[in-house]
Amino acid sequence: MTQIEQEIRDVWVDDETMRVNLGPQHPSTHGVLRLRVELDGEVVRSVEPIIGYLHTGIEKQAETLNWIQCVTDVTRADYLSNFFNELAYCTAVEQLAGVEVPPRAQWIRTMLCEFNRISSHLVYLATGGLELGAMSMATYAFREREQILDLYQAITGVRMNHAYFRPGGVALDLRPDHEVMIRDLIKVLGSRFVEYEEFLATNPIWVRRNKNVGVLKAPDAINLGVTGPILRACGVPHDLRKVSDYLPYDQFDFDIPIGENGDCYDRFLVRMRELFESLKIITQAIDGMPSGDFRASGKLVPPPRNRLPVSMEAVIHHFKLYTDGPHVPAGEVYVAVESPRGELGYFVASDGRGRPWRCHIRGPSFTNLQVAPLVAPGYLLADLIAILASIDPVMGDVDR
Amino acid sequence: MTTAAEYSARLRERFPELAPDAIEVIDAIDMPTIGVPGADIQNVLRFLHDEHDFTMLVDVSACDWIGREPRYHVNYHLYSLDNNARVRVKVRLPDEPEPHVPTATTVYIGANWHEREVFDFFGIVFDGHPDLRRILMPDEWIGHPLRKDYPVGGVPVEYRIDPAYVGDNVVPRDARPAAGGVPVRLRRDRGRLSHMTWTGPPASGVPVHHGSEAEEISEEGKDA
Repeated sequence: MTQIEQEIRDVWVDDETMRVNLGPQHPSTHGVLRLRVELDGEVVRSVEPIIGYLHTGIEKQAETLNWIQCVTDVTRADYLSNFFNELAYCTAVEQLAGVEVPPRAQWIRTMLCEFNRISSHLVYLATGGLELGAMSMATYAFREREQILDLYQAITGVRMNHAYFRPGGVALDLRPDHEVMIRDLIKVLGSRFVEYEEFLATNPIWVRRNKNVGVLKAPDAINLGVTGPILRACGVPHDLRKVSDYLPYDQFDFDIPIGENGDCYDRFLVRMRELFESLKIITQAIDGMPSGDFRASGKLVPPPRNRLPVSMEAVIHHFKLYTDGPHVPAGEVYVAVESPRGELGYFVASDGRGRPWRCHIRGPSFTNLQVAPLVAPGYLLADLIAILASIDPVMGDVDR
Repeated sequence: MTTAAEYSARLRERFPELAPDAIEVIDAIDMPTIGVPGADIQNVLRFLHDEHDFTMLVDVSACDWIGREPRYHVNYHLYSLDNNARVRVKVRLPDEPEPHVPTATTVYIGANWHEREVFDFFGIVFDGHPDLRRILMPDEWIGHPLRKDYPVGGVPVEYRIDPAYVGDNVVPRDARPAAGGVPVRLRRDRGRLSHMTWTGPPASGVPVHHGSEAEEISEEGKDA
């Protein structure tokens, strides 16, 4: 058999089905995801996701950075929900070091994480709408996301990859004018979300392309390890914010929206309702923001700026922290937080020295992407795009 | 909340054929942690899945404690949706080129990609895995990047070099050959690289300055 014949046989599996590469350069694959799809006409027979095109070695690089620098590294993993990466990593380091985070820092973290959940879900709405023909959704959702990114810039200094959460607290305190910005933004977002829900939930094209497409059963989802809105759309009311205490969510009043059928439409509804719930949390957070320190004291964080001219110990501490980095006691810890995509877990191991010995990132998108080969067979090729949009993978999170 | 000692006692009760010290209770600050022999991992996971409602395997990860014996730790993080409980099952594997452990995909299908990732990064072979291939690194990659003896930045940068620029023999722009240049051969031999960041066995108690080693020019750099 000649090489050309062999290649043709590789492409044409038999007379009826054909293998098609979707991606890695494809507008609907959310970055650089490649799907090898076996098609029978327009019907999908099998899907094989081929990942790794965005692998940047974040875990390996974390081992070369000190405990504080590492925040700037891990925040790039899931680049649409930076705060959650920082939160999980910082919580892990704090648990290893036995550092208690002051309430104000925890509330700032809670509020920014919920803003981040909104900005991440807005990207889902924008790209999902773009892929399924609701194109104006892309401009609307990105418009609001831009306002949220402006708020991030005002608070943290940068729009993405903030490195704002640090082990022991946050990098900078909130200023009084931030409160005004946040309250204005809450008003805008609340009215816009109502519009979006109306816009999509009553849109016959959106409903028909999503309803009863990509149905995932709850037992399959649990056995796969799927978490987040995809699991909740199957009717499983699991949310780490309710059952875990990494942030003071027990002091907030909010609901966990769940779906019934586990199809793409329910995933959309769950995310849509989560936007409103996140707004509720933000409103409560800004109303009840406690005063006090924005970071802990101790060896993990720099000394207060005003101590430096008067205290030799503060100068030594400052110098040691920024030349050598803090040292974290030996141990292993796994911290899981509820990111917009599900359980984001950080397994951090320390050998007692100045750098993480191992920093493993359990990206929710990585696990959730295994849904695609499970549910896509039997649907049309166009439905595969809807399924992929509803899984909402971020390739930075999948490939790390 | 069930402690690691209780899990260990129940496991011993359930599997009396195991050696008395096979199930180990490990100190951990975050969740009950038990160490089990690699050969029994499927039985242990099946037991925890069926009888303790650990229906979800959230993560499989590995850690390379080079210089210690056993060298590799494989951590299975289990979660119980009904009880909101977590447990870590730890398998420790010796320092071999290809450590083997049975797959967890017979109990949790979601372990599939996680085990491929651990295989890709650490070279730990999961026996019985349906499709054990590299997942994030390219298929033809040599070496397992998250092992501690694998260098950071160990891949030569592929670029093209203009022969007119080699050495001191700089030629004016308009006198250079028009196109192309000669592609530099991409070398796959990782063994010769010298950008090592690993600085010795862990936990000697002495802080190490990673950045202080002089960065030698690698063989590749000299060639170029």
